[in-house]
Order: sequence, then C-alpha cells, then structure tokens
Amino acid sequence: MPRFSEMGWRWHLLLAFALLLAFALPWLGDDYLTKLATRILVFALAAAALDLVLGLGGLVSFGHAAFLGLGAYVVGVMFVHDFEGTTILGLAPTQNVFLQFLLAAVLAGGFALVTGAVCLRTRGVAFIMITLAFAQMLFYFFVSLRRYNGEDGIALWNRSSGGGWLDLEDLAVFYYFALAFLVLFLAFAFRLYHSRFGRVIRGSKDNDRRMQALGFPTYRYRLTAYVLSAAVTGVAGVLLANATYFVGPAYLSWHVSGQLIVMVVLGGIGTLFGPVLGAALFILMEEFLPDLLDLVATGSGEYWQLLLGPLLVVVALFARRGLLGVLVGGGR
Amino acid sequence: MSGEVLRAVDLTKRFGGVVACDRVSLALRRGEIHGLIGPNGAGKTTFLNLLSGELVADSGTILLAGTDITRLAPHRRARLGLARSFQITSIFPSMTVLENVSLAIQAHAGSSFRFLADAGRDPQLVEPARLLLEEVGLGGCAGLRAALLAHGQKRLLELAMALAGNPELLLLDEPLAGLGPEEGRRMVELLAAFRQRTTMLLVEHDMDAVFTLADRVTVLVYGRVIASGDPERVRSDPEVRAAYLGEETG
Amino acid sequence: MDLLLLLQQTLNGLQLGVMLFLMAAGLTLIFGIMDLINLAHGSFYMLGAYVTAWLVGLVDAFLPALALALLATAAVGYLVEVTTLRRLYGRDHLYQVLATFGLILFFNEGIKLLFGPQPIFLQPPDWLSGQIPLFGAPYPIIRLAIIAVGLASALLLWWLIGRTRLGMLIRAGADDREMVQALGVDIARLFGAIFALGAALAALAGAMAGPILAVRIGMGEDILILAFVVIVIGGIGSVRGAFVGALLVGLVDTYGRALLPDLLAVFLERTVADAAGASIASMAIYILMALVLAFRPRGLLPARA
Repeated sequence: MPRFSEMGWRWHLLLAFALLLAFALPWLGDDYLTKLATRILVFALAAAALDLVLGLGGLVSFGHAAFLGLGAYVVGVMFVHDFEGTTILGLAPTQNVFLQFLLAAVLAGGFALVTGAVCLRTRGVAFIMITLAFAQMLFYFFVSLRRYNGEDGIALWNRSSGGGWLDLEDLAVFYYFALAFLVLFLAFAFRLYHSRFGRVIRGSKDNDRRMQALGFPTYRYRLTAYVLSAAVTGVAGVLLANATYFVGPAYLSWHVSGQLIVMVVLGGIGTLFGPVLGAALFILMEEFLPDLLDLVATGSGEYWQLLLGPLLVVVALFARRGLLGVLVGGGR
Repeated sequence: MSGEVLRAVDLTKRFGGVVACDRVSLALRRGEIHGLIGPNGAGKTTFLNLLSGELVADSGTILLAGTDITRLAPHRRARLGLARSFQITSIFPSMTVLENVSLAIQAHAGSSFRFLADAGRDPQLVEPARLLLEEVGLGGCAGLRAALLAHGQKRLLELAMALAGNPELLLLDEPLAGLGPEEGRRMVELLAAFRQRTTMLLVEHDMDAVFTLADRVTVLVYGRVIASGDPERVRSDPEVRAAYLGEETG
Repeated sequence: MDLLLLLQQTLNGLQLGVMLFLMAAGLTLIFGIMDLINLAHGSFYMLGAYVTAWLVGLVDAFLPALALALLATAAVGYLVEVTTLRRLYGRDHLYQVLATFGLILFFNEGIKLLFGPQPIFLQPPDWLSGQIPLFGAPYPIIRLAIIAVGLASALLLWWLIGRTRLGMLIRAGADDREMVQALGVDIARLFGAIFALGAALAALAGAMAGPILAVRIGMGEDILILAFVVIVIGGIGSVRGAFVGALLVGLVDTYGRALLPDLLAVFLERTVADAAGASIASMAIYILMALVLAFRPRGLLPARA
C-alpha cells in the first residue's frame, strides 16, 4: 500500500469521492440509507481490523466473530443490568459508550491474548481450525447463558449513552460517530503499515524464518497484532449492537467470521482501505441482490446465496487484488 | 578465549536412525574465513542449522563468544551476533530491496514496538541500509521490489541483510549456488572484502572459491570431521582425497 | 455416581466419537496429503443425510437407500474436487477458506431450494427403531448400530491404508508428493479418489445421524467444527490420531454435558450448578484442545512430517 505522497491520481480521486460520499450521506435525509450506511461502516471497521492480521500478518483468523460478539455482549449485558437495576459481579453497570468501548477492547483483547497464545504456536491449516474452534466455544458459551436469553439474545430498547453530549439515538449522529471511529482507525492502521511494527508483521508474513534468523521474536509481534486487531473488532461489536438494537449469539456465529474474510478479500487484502470497499459491496449485495433476482424471476431472491457461493469460488480462483486493485490499478 | 568467536563441542544430531552430525567439534578464530566442505549429505547444512538454532542438538554445546547458546531460540542467537544466509535464497519478496535491508538493520536498532513513525523515513534504518546496498553493488535497485531481482542479485541482497548489524559470526550456506561464473567471482571478491568485518563459516561446493577464501578448512563426511586445519594440508590429506576430493578429480 | 448412567453415557460418547471419526478421517487425509482446508466437508455430511432420507421415502428400503446415497455423495465429492478444489492446491489457505465457504453457501441454499427450509425426518427401518435391554435398562438399538458401523469403518480404513496399494500410495503421498509422482502414479486421480472416499465417509456419518438428530440445513457445520477439534487434538494428517481424538472428544463432550451439573451441585446451589455446568460442558472440548496444544502443539499422534 503506497504512502499518500506515492499515490497516483486514481487513488486521490477514489479517496476524495469516498470521503465526500461518506460525509454527505446523512444529508440526503433518507433514514433507510443512513441506517444501511451505518451498518456498512461498522462492518468496515471490523473487516479493516481483521485485515491487520489477515492481510498484513498473513494469519487467517477464522474466529473474528468472537471478538465482534464480545463487544456486542458488553452492550447487551450492560443494558440488561441497567434495566433491572442489578449489579454485575458487584459493580454497577454502565451505559456510557466510551466505557463500553474500553471494556469491549479489554475483553476482546484479553480473549485474543489467551487464545492467540495457543493459536500462534501453530501454523497454516491448524491456525485456521483453532481460531474457528475458540470462536465456536464462545458461541456455545453465550448460547448456554440463560441469564442473557441464551440463543434468543437480547433486544435493546435504547442505544448506549454518548456521555451526555452525544445523542446516539439520532441516526445522523450515530452515523458520524461510527464514521469517526472508522476514519480514526484507518489513519492509525495506515501509519502502522509503514511503521517498524508494521514492517515486522509484514516481514513475518513474507518470510517468518528469515525474520527469526534476523533476530526478531516474531511470536511476540504476531500476538500483539492479533490482540490489537481483536480489540478494535470488539469496539466494532459495541457499534454493531447499537446499530441493530440487538445482541445475540448469532453475532459470534462462524458465518460472520466467514463474511468478514469475504469482505477483506472482495475489497483487496492487505490494503486496509480495500476491506471498507469489500464491506460496502458485501452488505449492498446482501441488501439488494435478492430484490434484483426477484425482478428477473419471482421468488428466486430467497435463494440469492446460490449465486453468492459460486461467486466466492470464482473470486477465490481468479481475483487476487480485489475491488480496490481494480479501481486504483497497479499497487502491490 | 578472546581470539575465539565460536566453539562447538561434540555436537550430535540424529534424524530417526541417521546420524546427521556425529560429535562434531569446531572452533572459529576471530576474523577468519573457515571453509566447511564435504560431499552431499555430509551434514553441513544440519551443522549450520544447529549453530543458528533452526535445529536443536541432541547433545553437545555451542559457545558464541563464550556464551552458551546451545538451547537458545534462533532470534536470541541472532541478537547475540550470529547471522546467516540460507541455501535457498531467503529474502522478503514483497518488499523493496531497501526495505529488506532496513528490516535487517531494524533487528539490531532498538525496539520494534513502534506503531506510528514511518520506518521508511527513519535515518537510523535507511542510512546504513543504503550504505550496505552500495557496498554489495545493489545501490541502483534500492526501490525495486525484491521479487523482481535476478537470482544473483537476490544472493547479494541476502548477503547485505546478513551483514546488517555487524554480526560477530556469519554462517554462509552455499552463497555461490546457482551463480554464473562472473557473478561467482564477484561474490568471492565481496566475501574477501568483508573479511575484516566479521568471522565467516563458509559452506560451499565450489572448491576454488573455498580454497581462495578460507584461512582454514574443515571436512565433514557422514556427519564426522575427518580433517581440519590449513587448506594446503587438508587438500593433501590422503583420507580427504579418498573420501571427498577423489570424487571431484576422479 | 450411578453406574448405569455412567455406562449409558459412555456408549453415547462412543457413538458421538465414531461419528466424529467418520468426519475427521476424510478431512485429516485431505489436510495431510493435499494441505487443503475444506470447509465444505460438512456439506457432504448434510448431503448424505438428505439423500438417504429422500431415497428412503422413495424406495422404503434403508440399506439400498444408504448405499446409493454414499455413492451419490462420493460422486459429488469427486466433482467438487475436479471442478474447484484441484485448482486450489498450493494456493494460500485463505483462498481455500473463501472458496469452500462459498461451496457451503451453495450447498445449503441448494438443499433449501430442493427440500425446503424445514428439517425433514429420516425414518429408520423397524429393525433399528426399538430399544434393547442393556445392563438392565433399555438402550436404543440405532445408537449401538452406529457404534458398530463406526468401528467397522475404522477397521476397514485401517486395512485400506495399512494393507492395500491405494493405502500405500496414500501414506507415501502424505510423506512425499513428488516421490509418488515419480512412481508414475497419476496424482490427480489419487487425490480425486481420496476426496470421494472422504465424502462417502462423511455421508455415512450424516445418514446415521439422520434418525437420531434432525436432518436440517447447516447440520454439517456444527459437526465439522467438532471434527476440526478432533483433528487438531489427534494431529493433522494422522488417521490414528483422528480415531483417538474422536473418541476422546466424544467422551469428554458427553460426560461433560451429562455429569458436570451433578458434579458441580456437590459444591454449588442447584440452579447455579445447572447453569455453570451447562456453560462449562459446552466449552469442555475446546479447553481440552487448548490443553493438548499447549503441551503438544502438533497433536497427540502427529503424522510424520
């Protein structure tokens, strides 16, 4: 991924267009569109965070839904206790979104630290299976929690509070809130890509054996990247719960982990901006492809994944650079 | 001990029933180029891997400048000043040539837990990397992606990376493999030029190169040292001639 | 502890174990030999159950229906290998994940189109439907049959891999792919055969699970992830490891669910013990996996590298 100074005109055009669109969207005043765009932003944040390990580090984590779900459950559990007026482990619940962010980042990061310490001892196929297994463990854990409605999940009556100065119930405010986090993270990830740490992570993807021979304890760096990525995905989970007014084990389902990977690859792996495009593309497809199919043949929309499946196969077989690569050309 | 960079004592490594290294002992003097030769399958690469930590010896000890490194992980050994090249060129193909060497420098230039500052604009990394690239003659390719280099250039790049951080000891696993005669000559010249900076253990099949460069030579056959010392003496050793050099001439 | 309950749970655990083995055996061979991760392996399990159920409805004869279903699924497996997965050998695992994830969506949606979204019922034949007294209490015949078929399949696989030419090639292929090619064996056909075999084993597991669990969309995915845990515990590429891992996971999971709440009730309040027991039991096998990995990162019985 090039630095700003090294980007060609197509990059500049794309970035300008994306920023303009992103800022202008709520002004259109279409609630449906704003909600849809908010969902895109939330998944874009999660997908970009996944790209940190997937694209930069070459670590195929198939369990990122667990971190997303953990973040979402922070909101859900807080809501339940706040509603009931009960405490959690003796502590008063909080609806403050910033405290929830912090908690989500710590919990998701903590879970990543413990499971990552095990996963990262393995490579390749084993790494994929183990990340998947740990996520599934957490999925079943939340299903078994009858205290929080088990499989049915928690319907939220309100969004988290914005600390007294932000009304997150307002669609536009919440949209910009999510956008701010996405932009903030992309800026950070972009710096990270070119930093010393970023180079170590990328080097470890390229040739881990060489990295160790040069004197890098790569395990430590990979684990750090894994935890970082998980923490940000946890933050995305807090946003997701607020965006949908719902929290349930479905967020931790391995389908969600798969979808995040699809977003990253569709958009362009290892490019950080690409996953944002991928998230947009995926969610727009999910939203409009069924209707489009129904226009072609009535009733066929219900089976849109019959089309999505083979599409993913084709993408896996032939598309290597993703949508971003197509748009800006060249690149790495 | 001051004159000794490395001392390996009775290193043994078995793979199943095969003894790849059989009580191999070797001492390297500071500043020397030490040739390690032997027919294919003699255990040369295994021995290098034991020294660099890719493999752990079944028994025996390794001292690097007096420090016991026998059981240390590869990256710890590298930190103590042990660098290596691989038989099959090992670089970072997706990065530029300059980034490859900067990354090697970075390993010895403070913490890498720095998340924001642009490493590509860090003079502490870029300056020495450029210098090294000039020295090996790759100054003109700094901005090129390493994957696009020719084979010979990749070998030179790997040498530059191995030299980053001024290692105490450099393990070279067939640096001339796959090089044309002209490229080979340049590599020999370069190694000779770097003689003053580090100690080298040179595994190589090209006998001319070894006998041109090496101050001392050790011969490994079936995992055992059969001769070691002055190149001329080793060359005329009847056991060596029978076991190894005989193949070359006969 | 009630000894009868313990015996029954042991049998239940064995039954889950042998089903997991049928899933894991094919998967681990594919991992070990082709270095390919196939998420769609669970789809073969689902296909086996659906096709058997459908055929039983048509011809009303369980065994012929089962045999046909196995053949059909093996054919689908072969087709998937030839059309898609063959192109993914040697590619980054990420793309294998993506492609086989796409295959799952395709198969799930296809089944929904053909059979509808509701679970369907697989009617076991009369001779498998009853219960027989075992240790003085009735026990379902079908569960015993599953254990028997599973163990027989394990024996058959052991014979196939240990004693036949195909097995020799499979073992050699796991060690050194080029060597097998040098022997003049058509590696493409060998891989196709392994794939078809793996698909048939998964279908067998699915068809046998049909009568005791619901035949539904996505049924293959839960057991697929369990099979992954089995493979990681047993050691990737090792069929013996898969067998040991499968029985271990089957028993630990079953014991956990059946016994943990009672066990915890000794120390805790009943309601708390039930809730905590259920939670811990649902995580038990993953904790087992983590423990095995912590001490043996390559699994209990790793295949030779």
